[in-house]
Parts: sequence; C-alpha cells; structure tokens
Amino acid sequence: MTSIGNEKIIDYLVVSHIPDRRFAAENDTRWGGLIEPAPSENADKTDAGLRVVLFASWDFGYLMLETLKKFENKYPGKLNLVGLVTDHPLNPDAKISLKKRIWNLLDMPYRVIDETFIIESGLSHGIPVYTGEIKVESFHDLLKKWEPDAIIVCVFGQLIDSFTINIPRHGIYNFHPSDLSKNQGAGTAPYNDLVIRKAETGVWSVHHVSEDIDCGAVIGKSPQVNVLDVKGELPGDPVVVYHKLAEVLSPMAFILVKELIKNFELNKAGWINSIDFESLIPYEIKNKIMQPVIGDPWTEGLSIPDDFLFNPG
Amino acid sequence: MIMKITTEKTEKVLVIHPEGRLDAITAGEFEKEVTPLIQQTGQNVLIDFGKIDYISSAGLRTMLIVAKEQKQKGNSLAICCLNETILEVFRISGFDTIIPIYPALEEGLSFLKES
Repeated sequence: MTSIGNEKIIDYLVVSHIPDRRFAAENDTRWGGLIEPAPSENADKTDAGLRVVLFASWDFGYLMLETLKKFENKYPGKLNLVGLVTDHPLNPDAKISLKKRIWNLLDMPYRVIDETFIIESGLSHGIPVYTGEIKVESFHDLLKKWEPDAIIVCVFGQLIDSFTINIPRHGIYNFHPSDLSKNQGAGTAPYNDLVIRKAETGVWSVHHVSEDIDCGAVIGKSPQVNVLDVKGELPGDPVVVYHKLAEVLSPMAFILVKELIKNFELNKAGWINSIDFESLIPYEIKNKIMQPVIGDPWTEGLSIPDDFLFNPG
Repeated sequence: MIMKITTEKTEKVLVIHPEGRLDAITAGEFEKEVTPLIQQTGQNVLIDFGKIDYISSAGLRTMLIVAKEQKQKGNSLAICCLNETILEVFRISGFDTIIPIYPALEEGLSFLKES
C-alpha cells in the first residue's frame, strides 16, 4: 500500500497521477512548496505578452484563474500567466489565518476540493503552482525567475512583503469583496460587515497591495451587487453571499488585465491608479448582479460571461 | 464511453459499479450518467469502488454532488470495496464523515436496506 499522509494528499490527487508533474526538490518554506507541471501540459503556451502571477485561492481565486486562462487562450501573445501562488488550507501549520478566513467556514472535504481544483487548473494550463511560505529566500528567487510584469491577488492568506510588492513594474492589485474606500469590511470577514451594516448590496474594491492588510489605495469599485434573497433577507450562509458577489468578478478581472496590457504594450511602466469599473461593466451584467440571490449562485452554474469578455465593444 | 458503468437494482437499493479511473476526464461522464439514474430511482444508492483504481479531486467532487443529490431527496448514499489507497484518501480528506464507507458490498447493502 502507498501510504499518504495529510500533506501528501496533494501528491496523490494532483501530482502523481500525471506523469512528469513533480514537486520541486528543495525549498526553505515551513509548509507546502512548488509543484511543476509536466512539460507536455499546454505545450503550445507562448512566452509572449504581459507576464502575470496570480496569488489566489478558494472559489474566487479559481474563478479568477479560469478567467485569466480563458483570456490567454483567446488572445495568446497578449497575456502570459507565469505562476500561481495559492493557500494551503490542508496543512494546519500553514500561516494563512485558517481560523479567521473563509477556510474556517469549510469542512475538510471542501478544503480538499477547493485547493486541489485550483492547483489542478494551474498545472493543466502549464504553469507552476506554489503553496508555501512567501517571505523566504526560495520564493523570492522563484518570483525573480517568473519576472512578473504584474501580480493579481484574490483571496490570499499571507501578508505580502515589500520584496514581492516591488517586483512587478506594472503593479500588484488585490480584489477584496467590500467597499474599502468607505472603510467597510476590511480584513478576514467582509460578510460580517454586511450583517452589521444591514447592507442590501455589496461591492468589490480593487486596490494597490501594500504591506498592511487591505490598506493600499483603492483604484476602482464594482457596481453594486444585490446580496439579499427573494424575501429581502441576507442569506445566513456567508459562502452563498460570497458566491453572489462573485458574479461580477470575471468582468472586473478582464477590465484590469486589459488596462495592464494596454500600458504594457505602450511600454508605459507604473501602477494603474484609477479604473472606472462601474461604467465599463455593461448593463446586462449590472442587471444580473442586482437580481436577488436564488439558491447558491455557484452551484447553480456561475460562469465567465464570454459575450462580454470577448466582445467588449 | 471511456468509463464502463453497470447498475443493478435490488428491492431498496440501486447499486452502481463503475470501472477504471474516476478522474478529471471521466468524472463528468460519471456524473452525467449516474445523476439521471439517481433522480429516477428514488432509492438508496451504493457505489461499488471494487474496480476503481484511482480517484482525483474531480472524482471526489462528483461524490459530493451525488451525496448532496441523495440527501436532498431524503435518500442515502454509501460506497464500498475501496482499495487501501483510496480508502486512505477518503479518510484523510474527511469524506468518510459525509459518505458512509463499507469494506464489502454485502455490508453496504445491509446498511442501506435498513436506512
């Protein structure tokens, strides 16, 4: 029998079943590590375009990854995803605020599914996936090797250090599901903020990443998203509410990447300071996100709105 | 069809016998084939893992979906005959707290006939 301990479940579920996928041999992280795709995976992937590293996890992170993959597949040579850095919620030693953040709401089977799905998705796109500590030399070396032009963050459990922040010349941007410009919902539990304020709608903020949590300059916000159900009540399950908020995530990611690519192609280095997401997102999507919450929008088939992504007008 | 799936109906239990790997390629196929069977039968369901030699995260997700479908209908799901490695995966990942696991087909059937 092949014995598989808690840490090695990743190996069984997403590494060893594909020949030539492998864990990197050495690193100095206290948990997790680097997983490299097989050379044959997405072998046609080009090395051209805006180099982006994604720091992302959970369902939001998965949706963000799928959106960027779709963008890259549609426009090869414009966007080049070069790495994924993700939480490792299966390892109790991982310093990712396991007891405070979204993982606290999920039992182990759901953590297994969420983590392994995003890793599998990254590897199948031919990009390396890192699950370990980021404030260590081996990760800094890895990031230098990846040479990202921009970093996008969406649900990531570690504080990001100045070394990482200073690497991408086009900036590092975090998507957070609350209105940070009004000091609402910063930190680990934005759902609680909706409850306390008796809010009927929620928004996403996109902000510059700084060394403090959710404190960098906000560059734009999503349109309002209705978070109430048909009875006019906030669903009791935070995950359902977060899934409703996710309906606007793909279009926002698309808009940010498009702006980054524009600057990249003009060779205009520097961080983006402002994007008017509210006016750039079309009426059809605004109308959809203002519909009440019915069931769980994720399991009911949350999808990436292709029509908007690929015919943005 | 990549995955071979056979079924047998007993008085109270639908038994499903998949064969091969339950991975990213076959999990969707399994779900597509098994979901309507479960919806039609209205019975308890036993999935026989005796001829499954690998399960990926996509396969695990499919098990969660089937378990949820059964629960919503007020019916039970159990699985049996897992090889040692797959059994360990189910235990470590906590899936055994959601889906009852039995070493042999007869034990699974016995549990589901009584539930």
